[in-house]
Parts: sequence; C-alpha cells; structure tokens
Amino acid sequence: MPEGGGPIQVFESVCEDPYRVAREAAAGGRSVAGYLCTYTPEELFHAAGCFPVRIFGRDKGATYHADAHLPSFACGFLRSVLDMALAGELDFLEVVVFPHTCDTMQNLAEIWKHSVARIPSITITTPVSVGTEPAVRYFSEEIRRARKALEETVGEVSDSLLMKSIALYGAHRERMHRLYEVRRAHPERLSGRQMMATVIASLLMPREEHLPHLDALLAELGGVSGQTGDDRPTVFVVGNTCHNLDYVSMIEDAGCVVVEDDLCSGYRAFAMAARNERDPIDRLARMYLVGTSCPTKHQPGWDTGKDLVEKAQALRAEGVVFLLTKFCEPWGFDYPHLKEAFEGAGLPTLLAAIECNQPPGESFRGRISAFIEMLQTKS
Amino acid sequence: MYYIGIDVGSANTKAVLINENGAVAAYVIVPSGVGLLSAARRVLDEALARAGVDWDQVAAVVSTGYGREIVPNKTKAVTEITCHGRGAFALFPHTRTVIDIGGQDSKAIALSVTGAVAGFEMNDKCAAGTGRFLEVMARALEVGLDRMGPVALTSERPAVISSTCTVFAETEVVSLLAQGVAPSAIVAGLCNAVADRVHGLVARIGVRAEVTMTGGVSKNTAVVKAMERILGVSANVPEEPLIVGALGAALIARELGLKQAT
Amino acid sequence: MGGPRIPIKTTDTLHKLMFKHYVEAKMAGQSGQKVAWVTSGAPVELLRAAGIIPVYPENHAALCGAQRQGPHYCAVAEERGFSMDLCSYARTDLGCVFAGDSPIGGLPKPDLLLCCNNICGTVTKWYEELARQFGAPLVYIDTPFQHGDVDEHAIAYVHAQIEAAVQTIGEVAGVPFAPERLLETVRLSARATALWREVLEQCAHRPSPMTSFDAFAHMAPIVTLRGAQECIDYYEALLTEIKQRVKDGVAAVLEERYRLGWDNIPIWFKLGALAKRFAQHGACLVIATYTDAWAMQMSLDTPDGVLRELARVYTTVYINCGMRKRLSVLLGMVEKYSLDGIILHSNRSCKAYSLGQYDIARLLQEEHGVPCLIIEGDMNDSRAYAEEPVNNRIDAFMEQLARR
Repeated sequence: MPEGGGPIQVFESVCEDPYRVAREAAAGGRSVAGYLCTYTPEELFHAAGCFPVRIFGRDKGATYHADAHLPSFACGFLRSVLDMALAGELDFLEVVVFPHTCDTMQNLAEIWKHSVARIPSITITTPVSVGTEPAVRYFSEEIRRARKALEETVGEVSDSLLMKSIALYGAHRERMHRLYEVRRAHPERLSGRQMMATVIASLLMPREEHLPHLDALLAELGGVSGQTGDDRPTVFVVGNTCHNLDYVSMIEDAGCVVVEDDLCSGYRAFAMAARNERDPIDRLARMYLVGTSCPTKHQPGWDTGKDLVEKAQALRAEGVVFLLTKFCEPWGFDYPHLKEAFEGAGLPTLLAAIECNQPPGESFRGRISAFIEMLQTKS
Repeated sequence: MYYIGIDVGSANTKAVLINENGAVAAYVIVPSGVGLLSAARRVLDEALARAGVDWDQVAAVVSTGYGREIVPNKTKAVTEITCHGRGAFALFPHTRTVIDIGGQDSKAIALSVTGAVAGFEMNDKCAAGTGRFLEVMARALEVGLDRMGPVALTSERPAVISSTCTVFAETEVVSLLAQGVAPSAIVAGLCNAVADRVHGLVARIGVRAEVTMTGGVSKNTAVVKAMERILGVSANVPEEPLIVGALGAALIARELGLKQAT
Repeated sequence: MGGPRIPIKTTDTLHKLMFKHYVEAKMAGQSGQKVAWVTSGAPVELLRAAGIIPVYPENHAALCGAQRQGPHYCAVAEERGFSMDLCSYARTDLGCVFAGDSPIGGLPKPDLLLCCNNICGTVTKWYEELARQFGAPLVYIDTPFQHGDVDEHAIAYVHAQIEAAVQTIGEVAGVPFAPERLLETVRLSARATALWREVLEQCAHRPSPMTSFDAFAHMAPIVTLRGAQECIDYYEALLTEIKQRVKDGVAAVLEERYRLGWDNIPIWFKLGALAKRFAQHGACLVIATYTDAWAMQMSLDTPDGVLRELARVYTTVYINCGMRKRLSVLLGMVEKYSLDGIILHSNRSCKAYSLGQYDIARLLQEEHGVPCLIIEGDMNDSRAYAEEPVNNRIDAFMEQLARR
C-alpha cells in the first residue's frame, strides 16, 4: 500500500481542500468553469481554455444562505453548492455549467440566474432520453450553442482544439479504467480511501496535471496478475455523489474492502467510451449519451438491475452498500428494484443515507458495522 | 470462566454476566448519565460483585450500544443489531423477527432459522416511534411514563394521532385535550402511533413469526398489544427487555472466549 | 356573512362523468379496447386518435388523497422501499398497484404507458417502475426544460419523439396512424381547453362566481377527458351556469373582501377546511396556476402541422418553463384577476413546482408589491401536513392584508 509521499499524498492533499487548485488557477489568471454533474461535456470547456472543475458543494456545515432559496426537501448536495455560491466561496469560478440532471438541478439553474448574479451560468440541457438519434441531435445542438457562447467570451474554440481536448480526456479515462482494473484484482495494494482520493482529485485538478501522478501510481501498483490474498468481505458501493473520503474509510474500517464503486462521483465519471466520429461535436454528444448509464437518464429496455447484478457478480462482491444523498428522487425510485435485484441474486444490501451533506457519524458507523458483521457471519 | 456483555446506551448502561454454560449469573442496569465511562465501570463492578466473581475469572468482554467503543479492556465491540439478534434468539429460540424500541431509536432485525442476522432496518434519526416520543407526550399529558401503558389500556376508543412528527403530534395532543378528548383515549392513540411508526420499519424487512420485542418501550403493554394487532401475530416479551443486547453481547463474548481457549 | 353559499349545480354532472370515465376504462378489456396510463401533461390526443382509452394515475392518486387514503397507500409503497421523501402521487399510485386495490377498486391494467416529463422528472422514474410492474411498453416523450425563450431545437426534438410515439401507439392499438383522426381529436382538445379558459376567466368578475377550490374539482375532465366530445359538453354546461352566476351576482364567497391566487398543486385532503378558512376571512381564491395550466392555446392552422403544434404546446406548459416565465404568468394573473395576494403551497412532494417559489415570492413582494404567503404541506400525504401552523399563517397573512 502506498505510504507517505508520492501521488497519493498529492491526491489526498487536493481532497483536503477541494477547491484550492481551482482558486490558485483563477488567481493565476486561468478561467475556471465549474460543473455539477457527469453529463457535462467538460472537453468543450477545456478546449476553450478553461479549467473545468467539479463542484461537489461542501461536506459539512449549515446552509443558512441557501435555506432562503431552497426548501428542506431539496438535496443537501445542491443546497450546499448554492450556499457556497451565496457565501462567496465560489468566486473563483468564471462560469458555472448546468446540465439537465433532475428537477432540483433545473430549478437551481433558475434560482442561480436570479440570486447568484456574480457567477454567470451556462445551461446545456442534456436530454433525459439517452441512446436515441433525436436525443443525440438535440444534445449536439446544445453543445454547439454552448460553444458559440464560449467563443463570445473566452475566444475561439476550433474543431482541432476540441479534438485535442477529447483526446486528452480520453487518454485520462483509459488510465482510470486501468486503475480500476488493477484495484479490482489487488485491493490490498490500494485502500478504498486512497482509491477514492485518486478519483476525486482527478475531478478537482486539471486532467493534464493529474495524469502524470496517475501514471506514477499505476507504475507503483503493478499489474493484475497474481492472487490477492485479501480475505476481507468485499463490498460494492453504488450511489450518487460523495466526495468525503471518510465515508469510504468508515466502510472499510468496519472490516471489509470496497472492491469497487458505481458512483456518479466515481466510476460513472469515467464511463464514457472512446468514439471515432469525425465531427467533434457529434463525437462528444454520443460519448455522453450512448452507452452511459445513470438513474437520471432513461433508455427503453434498460435493465439496470441486471447490469449491476452482473457487475457485482463479476467483482465477486459479497454485499452491496447504497450510498445515497437523501432527497434524490431518481435514486429513490431506483433503489427498491435494484435492492430486489441484488437480494434476489443472493447479495445482501445496506442503505446508507448521506443527509444534509454532513460527514459520516455514529449512525452511519453503526449501520455499516452491523452490515459487515452480518456478512462476516454469513461467510 | 465467566463472560460479560455490556450495553452502553444513551439512557441506560446494562451488563450481563454469564457462566460457561451460557446461564445468567447476574445482570445490572444503571442510568448512563453524562459519564459513560464511569457508568460502564460501575455496571461491570456491580455485576461481578452480585455474582461473587473476580475479574480474573472473566475470560472475555464484549461491548455494544452507542458507547461501545469507550469500554476499556474489551475483547471486542459489536453492534446492537447483532447483539439484540443473539440475545432475543437465546431467550426465544424460534424468533425470526426482533423489534427493539429503545429510548432514542428503534430497530427491526430479521433472523435466519439459525439466529444469524439476515437483515435490519433502523430509525435513529426521528423521535417518532421511539421511547422519546412517549416521554415527550407523557410530559405534555402529565402522566408518568410507566403509567402510559396501563392508562392506554383503559380506553375503549383510542384517539387517532395522524402526525408522524413528534413536534406536530404534541400540538395535536394539545388540540385534542382542548376539544375535551379523554386523556386515556389520547394516550391509547399515542401508543398506537408508536406501533404504527415502528411497523413501517418492520414491514421493510418483512415479518416472520416468531416476533420478539425488546427495549424499554416493550414494557408498555399497550404498545405491545398494538404491535401484535398490526402484525397479526403475537409477540414474545422478555422479563427484562432492557438487557437483551447485553445478553447477546455476553453470548458472543462466550463464543470468542471458547474459541480462544481451543 | 349573510345567507348560505349557492353550490354549483354542474358538480353533479361532474361526478357522473368521472364515474363513467373510470367504469369505461375498467370495462375496456371486455370491449376489446386498449387502455393506457398517461401522465397529466402528455399529448393524449395521440392515444384518443388511436382509440386507446387513457387513464390518469395522477388523477386517481388525487382521488385517493381527497378521500384521505393517501397515507394508507403511501405506506404500502414505503414498505417496498420507496422513501417517504418521494412524490406522494407516485407513492399513492404505486401503493394502489402493490395493494391491488384503491377507493375505486384500482385502475385497469395498462396495455401501454405514455409518459411525458414536461410536468417533472419524477414521472420518468414512476413510469419506469410501472413498466417493470406491468411489462407494458413505455412510450416516453422527453420535453427539455425551457430556461429562456422557446427553443426551436427542443421543439424539433419533441416533434421527432412524437412521430416515433405515433408508430408504437399504432402498433399497440392495432390501427395504422390516421392523420385526420388526430386532427379531429386535437380540434376537440383545443375547443375544450378554450372553454376551460373561458370558465376560469369568469372569475375575473367581482365577486367571483367560483373559487379555485371549486376549480380544482372541475378540472378533472380537462385533464382526463381532453380530446373527447364529453369534455366539451361538460365545459359548455359549466360555462353556461357560471356565466349565469355572474349575471345574477352570485358570489362563491359571500362578502368577498380579498381576492387571492394559488400556486402549486392543491392540498387534496384539506380542500374543504381551507376553503372554509379563507371564506371566513372573506377571501376568495379566484385563480390558480395549476388550473390555468390546462387552459393551453392550441392552434390547428400552423404550417408545420399538428404534430409540431402538439410538441410546442406540451413543451411550453407552465411547469416546464423557467422563473421569468412563471413570474410573468403570476403577474398577469394579479393584473387580470385583481389579486390582493398569492398563496404559494410549498409542496413537499413536488420539487418541480416548489423549488424557486421562495425567490418568486420575494420578487413578487419586493419588486411588485404583491403580498405572498408560503404554506408548507403536501398534496396527498397528510402525515406531512401540520394544520395548526398552517392555519396560524393564513390568519396572520389575512390580518396583514386587512391592515393594508
């Protein structure tokens, strides 16, 4: 397991103060574009010379500013983002990008326009329908429109610049897939916390800065061959967004290994497959809409339960933890059938809610400990 | 050799001392107060004193409950879910569903045929469906907490309390009193409300007979009867519902101790 | 306040009409007709033109809510793992599905599901669950949110989806798409929405002949029978009666002193109590964004054809538009209906409708001098409703209006 120094230390330090890199970049004159959801074509902003940084909100503290704009039943994630904006903590952003994720996101975009005049916003309305030609056409149009808006403020965004950015992000994704592969085979070489730090840091620093550290880490970790020797119960964590490393630590400290995640802020952030369309806008639109999966999207004939069960079985996971931010409507509706699918396949599940974007406490620890005790008794 | 289970809760700290055969030699319940550590020490010393046993005869100690980590010299800390499951199964070997309604939280635990935890649901965020709900209401109605059960049972037409939130329910109670509804009817309604709320939790793990109720609130016969009515099945209630967690912990301590010895 | 309130006679017809609607749907299997479950904002005209009978889970859920069965069915869904934080229409409906019953014996099994997300994103997930439960094909129409001016690309996208939908609907119905039938159905819809609009406009008179609480009941046909002749017949009768009430000076609230607007879905299980409380203050709720939402303008003569028009109408409904549009609709209402204030129901179940209300209320008050009151509640789940605090707020608000 990597100790002090080296890439992990870089990543953990980034995670400790999530927006430090972005603040420094802005202070140094770079345009920083904040985005909130995986379904944002970051490459476009990168090509325009921006540093696209993922805004996770805060992971603790009250949200008095946002409470004046959002009722209690809006999710803690977006509430804390709005709070940060109103408290002046996001002033390093040149622009904020709103995709279409859910009812809360779409209304936050509206509230933002009226209450956070300081930080302009761009809306790229991602279709809810994925995988259909009309949706791809519409999304392409939205991306084209965003490009035009960027060109009016930041400067030219040529096709060739766009292709370069797509290539960079693609190369980074390949490395991330490799990392996931190695960790699957050898979880004893990288703790869940260290893995999460690597993933989250990649969304908080420029990809080109993250890449060399990632390569160094991959070199350290070695290949997939050989037995793992790790006999802790294996847990598959699925859910929406979580950037507080303590959640993963607490799960593993209960006596298991998080063999993999299917989180919006984790695996799904890198799930876009490489494509070869000649037009960069067409390529981008399809990268995000074809072959990706999320409860906020709809595709006829999808059986996300079957897909996730197959994945859990391939990972030889012994249990599944749903790590869900409370008040997430899309996940709330998917949870029952996914739970049924997992349990139907013999996989016990635990629902662990993240409330008001607070750090994990005794309640979380108690639940996860009880769950791991259950798995240990089973095996 | 002896084995100890200690359950450090937010309201009460309990210890159970068992012998090699798993029989209970002594048990102690003290209020936790603000000093959990001193409550833990007291309860351990007291249990040993009552059984006439010395520390060097104790082979293993397992702690559980909210304050399980602070117990010194423990062999292991195990969650209340596992411990309540074990304890209830030991007392009632056909138990498949354990319903624990404590002072601060409520839990539903599904057990396999062999008594292993197969699933669980917890409510540890909301006072409704816990002892706290009844405490607040007892104060509002000026009825002793331990009188709530007997008073409820005297009512033939319980009031219907529709609020799920303790704060809302309190205003509802005040409103009902002002309308002249008999306090006993209100108390009966409140007991039903607790059972209703907990039922929601239980339904999520599925009810399988036999059902055993544990925790302080299971001393309230009206709540138990309401629960039985809603579930459509009768419930076992231990003689001393407060010590089920500590008993389970003691049994786990015994397992660990015996394993170590071999 | 002197004299009893004169009830609206057409309400009797309403009950009969809705009863007939549900009975016909339940008998559909026997008559060989197909049944579809539809979201309230979907282009139902496509279904009616194909002879498929639509039923509306939202209307059914509201019915359960009005009969105070919301908590019962919600609990059934919650036992299956659906969180209490989810939309109570969906929980109620899914609860009825899981329980296999409802106050009207449950809805008939769907042969098709038609879901349009113009009203919210929740319906997407709700209908996905229904598709899993029934194994019925789900026809999905994604209408992108209109943040600013109407977006032609979005309309084109919706148009393309409607064209695809027409194919699937034809297959399920077993009849090929008949453009003339669709045109006729849209003509019937357009006439019905125009009549409904006229009904609502009668409330611009002082005193108002009808309250929004009445309108919440009378809106059932425009939602569930839009595109059918009976819908037109109904609103013609209602309009006649309401116009007569205006002529005769019949007031819905005797001694009307204040005129208010309502934003968001009603609190179905408290309509009577709330109507009474406002009436006691001499306040008449004369218009609501919810009832107004089905008063769409539908044009039959557009050059791009009827499918394009359906795309436009259904993409630009109130709740699919941004704050600026909503604010302008509300201000228009203040003007047209001479409103003294607006009640905004912060509906725990509906993020689509409720998020942004705090800012809208602030803008209305601070920039336009329109007094606003926000009340917290839920449309169907009475467990999330605290009557005393809400009544207190209403009283305080009315005292505030009295002092102006």
